[in-house]
Amino acid sequence: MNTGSFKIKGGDYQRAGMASSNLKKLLKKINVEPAIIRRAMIAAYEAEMNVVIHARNGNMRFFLDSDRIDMEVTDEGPGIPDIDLAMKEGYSTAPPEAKDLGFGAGMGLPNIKRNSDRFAIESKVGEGTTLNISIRLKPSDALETGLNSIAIVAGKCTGCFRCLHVCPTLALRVKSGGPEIIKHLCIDCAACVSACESGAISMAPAGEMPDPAEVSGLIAPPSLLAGLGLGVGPEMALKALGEMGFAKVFAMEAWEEALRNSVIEHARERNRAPTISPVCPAVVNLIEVRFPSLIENIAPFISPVEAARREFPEGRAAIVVSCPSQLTALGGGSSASLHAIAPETLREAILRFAAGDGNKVWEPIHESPLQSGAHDAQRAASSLDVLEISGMRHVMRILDKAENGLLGDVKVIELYACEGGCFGSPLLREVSALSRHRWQKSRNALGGAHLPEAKAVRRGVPFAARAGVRLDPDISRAIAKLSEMQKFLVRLPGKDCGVCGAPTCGALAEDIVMDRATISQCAYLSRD
Amino acid sequence: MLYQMVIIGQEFTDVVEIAMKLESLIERIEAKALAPGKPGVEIGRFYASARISDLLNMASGDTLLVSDVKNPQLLRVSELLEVPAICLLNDIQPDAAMLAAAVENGTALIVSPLGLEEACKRLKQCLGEEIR
Repeated sequence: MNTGSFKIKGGDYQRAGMASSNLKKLLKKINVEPAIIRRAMIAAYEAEMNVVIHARNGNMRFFLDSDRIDMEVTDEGPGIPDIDLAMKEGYSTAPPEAKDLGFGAGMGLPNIKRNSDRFAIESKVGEGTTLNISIRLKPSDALETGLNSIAIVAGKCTGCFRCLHVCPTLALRVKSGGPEIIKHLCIDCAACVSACESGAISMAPAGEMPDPAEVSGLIAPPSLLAGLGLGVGPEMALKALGEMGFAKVFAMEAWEEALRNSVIEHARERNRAPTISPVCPAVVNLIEVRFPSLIENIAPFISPVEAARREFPEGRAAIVVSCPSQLTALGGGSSASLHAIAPETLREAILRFAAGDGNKVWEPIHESPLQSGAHDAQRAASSLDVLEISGMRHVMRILDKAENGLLGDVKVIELYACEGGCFGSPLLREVSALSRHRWQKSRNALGGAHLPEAKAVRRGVPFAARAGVRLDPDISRAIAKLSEMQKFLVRLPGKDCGVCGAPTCGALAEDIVMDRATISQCAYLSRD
Repeated sequence: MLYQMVIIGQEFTDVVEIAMKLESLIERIEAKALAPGKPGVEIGRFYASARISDLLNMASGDTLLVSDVKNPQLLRVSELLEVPAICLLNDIQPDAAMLAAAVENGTALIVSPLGLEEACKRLKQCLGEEIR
């Protein structure tokens, strides 16, 4: 890990670009691919010039990891009143002296976004603006149109085909070498992880258990704290974490509640019903892939797990993710300001700690490290406005209804990809209803006295349909491929048996025109 | 190797396999080299614009950047994106800081008396035919 910081002086057009130049030297020193350096330089330079043109002072911090570079560019400037407008190509508020020099074409922010793998912008009028930019350092990662955190261990695949039929976006294929994921279709919902009994499909590796002294807080999902079994309830789990050295433990629920309240507020201000909460990143991905007409219904906030990360701008936070979609939302495993860890990692650490202290009598805790969240009364009131749906099958049905205009009487829908919400993640071992029950019983005793400081965070960049779903970026070639696909579809039997390795005959027809398969893979046609 | 030729706001759909020595291009556009750049540089394409963001997007290791704006940041763009040469039009004379930066970067800095339209026309003739 390498970190650094460069100061940027507003209005200094002579020295402008020095921060980007220094960063380039570092990237070259570690042999980063020229194409990746190019992207990083365009993004860094545009961000730097934004500070020079608009602000009094600024700072560029970078965090260089083995697989990506994160840049954070902050400024003391006027702030941006309307971020959506500022993101539009051609929109500029640059002063005349900047325009005379060829700046202020309104391409800066769009250029940064185009050259980043992740880009977020936050701004407060009168205070300043913060840009967060991530660029993956491996070319193959950067070229992926979709990012996800599903890992395949092909050798473990038994060829049972269970995964094939559960994928809501038809992103899986089973070939002779094992399962394969069409990355731009994968929404990280983990339905395949849940269906796979052989362990061939799992979540991609997250970070290792951090040294408690190095982090300023640990954020854990209640589902894990209450899902360690009868022997280790939430109280004992928190006690163990406190004794392991985690001074502050936060329940993710606090950010979920903050989001819920903000989404309800947002829904009151708009006419388009229903408003969809972005609580589950996998559901947001699903809408971007399968239900683009509903994108405008999604409330413009980042997910709770991303908002939780923002609470620790200076120090490293450890966040236990519930599922692959949360891991992807955080940008993968560890980075300079974050330890994203898998639930199993924390589970093992707690159980090992508890087992290592077998003679200890676990007293009830009086000063819990938990800084929790939920206000029961508030939750009860808000729940009248919110329709909660969990499980991908139900989520798909409700989104179908929303798309057909049949949910006009529902203000807010909160959709979770996993059956039972985050308590039902396939990465957790306990029965979801049981861990939820245990959490609800323990919550008030544990941390009810502490009001959360969590808040929902508005998105800088609007949600957008995924470009990767098209047959071809060129519309005329896409139409030609569609017509070719239909010809193959007529020849295929329509049994959707999956023996060819594609989930449906339609998916096989698409694979054939996209050169991912041949028609000889159809078992029915081969038999004839 | 494939080269693509681009001028302000118009992307030529023609992709040609032509590269020219910078020295030959300098002659064609009646330019003077104020900073020589690296010896034997070959130019595969050119991009002309007054806007830094456009130049930034189109710059690469074989691009001649052409501009009619005097801005020291042109040299910063060339440094960051390893642009081999910059051409200033309308006889715009760079200041000492720009010249020093060009020498330090190893970027060729040339000045042509031609205007944007004529310079682009001649560069286009050198680097490939326009197909609209």
